[in-house]
Order: sequence, then C-alpha cells, then structure tokens
Amino acid sequence: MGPLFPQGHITVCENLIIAYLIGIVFGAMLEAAGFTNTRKLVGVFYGYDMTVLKVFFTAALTGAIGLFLMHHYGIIDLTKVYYPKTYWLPTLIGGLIMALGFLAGGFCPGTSVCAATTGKIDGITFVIGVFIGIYFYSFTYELIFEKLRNSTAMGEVNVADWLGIKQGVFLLIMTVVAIASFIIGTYIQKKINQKQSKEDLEELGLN
Amino acid sequence: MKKLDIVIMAIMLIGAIWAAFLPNVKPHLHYLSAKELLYEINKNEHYISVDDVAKAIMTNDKFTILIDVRDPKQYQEFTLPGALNIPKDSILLPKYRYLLNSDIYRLVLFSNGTSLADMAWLIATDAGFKNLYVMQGGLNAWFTKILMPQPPKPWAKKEEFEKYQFRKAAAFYFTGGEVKETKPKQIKITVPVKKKEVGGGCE
Repeated sequence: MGPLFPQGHITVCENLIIAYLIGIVFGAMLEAAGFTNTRKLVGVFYGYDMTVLKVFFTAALTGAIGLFLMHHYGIIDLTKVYYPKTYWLPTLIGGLIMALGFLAGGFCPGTSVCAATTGKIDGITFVIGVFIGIYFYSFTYELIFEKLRNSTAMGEVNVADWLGIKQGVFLLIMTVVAIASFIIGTYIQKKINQKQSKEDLEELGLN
Repeated sequence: MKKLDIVIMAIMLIGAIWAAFLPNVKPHLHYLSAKELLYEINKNEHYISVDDVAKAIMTNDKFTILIDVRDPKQYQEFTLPGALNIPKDSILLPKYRYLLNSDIYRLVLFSNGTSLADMAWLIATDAGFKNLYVMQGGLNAWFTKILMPQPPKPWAKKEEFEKYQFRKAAAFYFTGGEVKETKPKQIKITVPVKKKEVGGGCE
C-alpha cells in the first residue's frame, strides 16, 4: 500500500531515481503536447487554443479522483501523503505574480525548463529570469517578505471540509465545472479561429 | 469536440459520481515510533525559561503562542497575557489541529508546575506535532522569578545581576507599570588638581 517513501518501502536513493524517471516522462509528454511553444501556452489567455486548459484541468481531476478512489480501495493511504499548509494571502499574491509572468513570458516554470532543454532561447531566458527571481527572494526574504510569507496561516486545510461539503461531492462539482469549461472553451476557440481566418482571408483578398 | 475528448470527459464524470458516494478521507495523526519519541524526549530541547516567555510577551512576539493546558476553571482564574486554553485532555481534538500543525508558530505549553505541561507536550509530540515547548517551572516559576524576583547574592555573577534587572522590569511591566528606556546618566567627574609645592630656596 502506498505511499512508498513515507512508509519506508523504498530508500531515499530509490525515491530520487523514480522521481527522475517520472520527470523524464513528464518532460517528454510536455514536449510531445507542444507545451514548449509559447504560442500554444498563451493561447488559453487569448482564446485561440484551449489545449492548456483541457490538459491541466483533466490532469488535476484525474489525479484527484484517482487518488480518492485508490484511498478507498486500499491502494494508497492519502493520510500519509505530504499535505502542504495553506497561507492564503501569500499564495494569492504569488499566483497573481505567476499569472503575470506567464502572460508576459509565455511560460510557466515547468514548461520553461522543458523549452530551455530543447534549446529555445526564450525558454533559456525565462529560466535565467526564474533564477534571478529566486536569488532576489532568498536574499531579501528577512527584510521584505518574511512577514507576508508567514501571514494568514490556515494549517492543512481541505476546500471541501472548509466549505462543509463531502469531499466526493466537491470532486463531482469540480468535474462538472471542468466539463462546462471545456465546452465553453471549445466554442470560444472555434469563434475566435473563425474570426481570425476571415480576417486572414480578407487580408489576402480571397474573401 | 473530438470523440476522444468526449470519452475522457465521460470517464471523469463516472469517476466523480462514484467518488461522490464514498465517505471523506479523514486525516489521522502521524504517531511517532517508540524510538522516535525517546529521541525527542532525550533531546531535552523543548524547555523554555520563564525569562524567554516574559521577553516574548513584552516584545509582542507574534510567532510565539502561549497555551495554558490546565482546565478552563483555572484558566479563568489566572493565566498569562494572551494565552489560549487547550486542556491537556483536549489537545488532540481536530479543532486545535490547525494551530498545532502550523509550521510558523512557537507553541509554549504551560501549567501550574511543569508536569502537566510535560504530559501535554508528550501527547502532542507523539502525535507528530512539532515546534512545541514547555515553560520550565510553569506558573509557579512565573510568580517566584518574574513577578517577585529575588535579588542575587552579592558574589553572584554579572549575568545574574543582569537577569535580576530584566526580571524587575518584567515585574513592573506585568503588574501594570510602564517600562521606559532611559539613557544612562552622564556623571561628570572632576579631579582636583593638586597645587605643586614650590621647591628649592632656603629653609
């Protein structure tokens, strides 16, 4: 029964090797799906390509539903899996900064490393920027960020428990929201691409 | 929409409907093994002096939380400023888990003496909670050392005198006085100049 490492079924070394192999597969999948291309990544913000929305929402829900079901059938003990603590204000601010960075640079941290390893200059530049940001934060943490970082602590909190609803019901609600967003997203993508095609044809004088 | 997209959405929906009928995942505590608990006890790093607690209260340290582990009746009669009441027998209740499970706070447990707080510390540490400390001597030490400090012996070390000065200030602070920072008085020392006797000449 999982998880393997917290229960001592595998050593630190074995854990790192497995993580390394999973990382390789993950990177290969990202590259195969075209996620090292900034135009594909920011398409979700401009409406012409909803792949990112579909892939990440599907991945998150598959993981959540899969883990929930596996816990109930004894394949994994979710109570032994690491659960991060919530600090809602710094998380909100960090999320906003990340979204701005994503829009400006066209990458999120994971895909930027993928792009950098394929030799893309924009990916390499983005990774350099990430490291500069990390060093800046580390050296100014005590002076500027410490108070904010430790504010609004909520402990290990689960959204469903916080809302007072069953965890399975919350998963169902999120799945319905995901499906609705895929349908709406596909519709928006079609409309924007049609509009773009018309404009392109007019420019070429073929309409 | 592609056929594959529809198939994936259908599988997700079936999984989610199935999950909706299952009970919640209840978090349970990560109990330490006997060896791990013995290690924590032997480390003996979980005691904190009444002076450190007084300093934390006086400097309004937001990362130190005082927890009175006595029963609510004793808590109502007297407790340290800003202390919360979590009786020893209730320390593992889910409603206190968000506090005990927080990384950022230094949680100081205290009682009348040390033994009740020690028991609470043992229970909470065994359940896997960290950053827990016990105020050594408890409220008994608080009264004798902070509220009614005794001056050190004349031959005591300099550190004892400094500690006594701090405790005097703390006693003044906690009994309603105001502690102001004062600059040391500048004492002018004038050295009388001895007039030199005129030497030489005939006697």
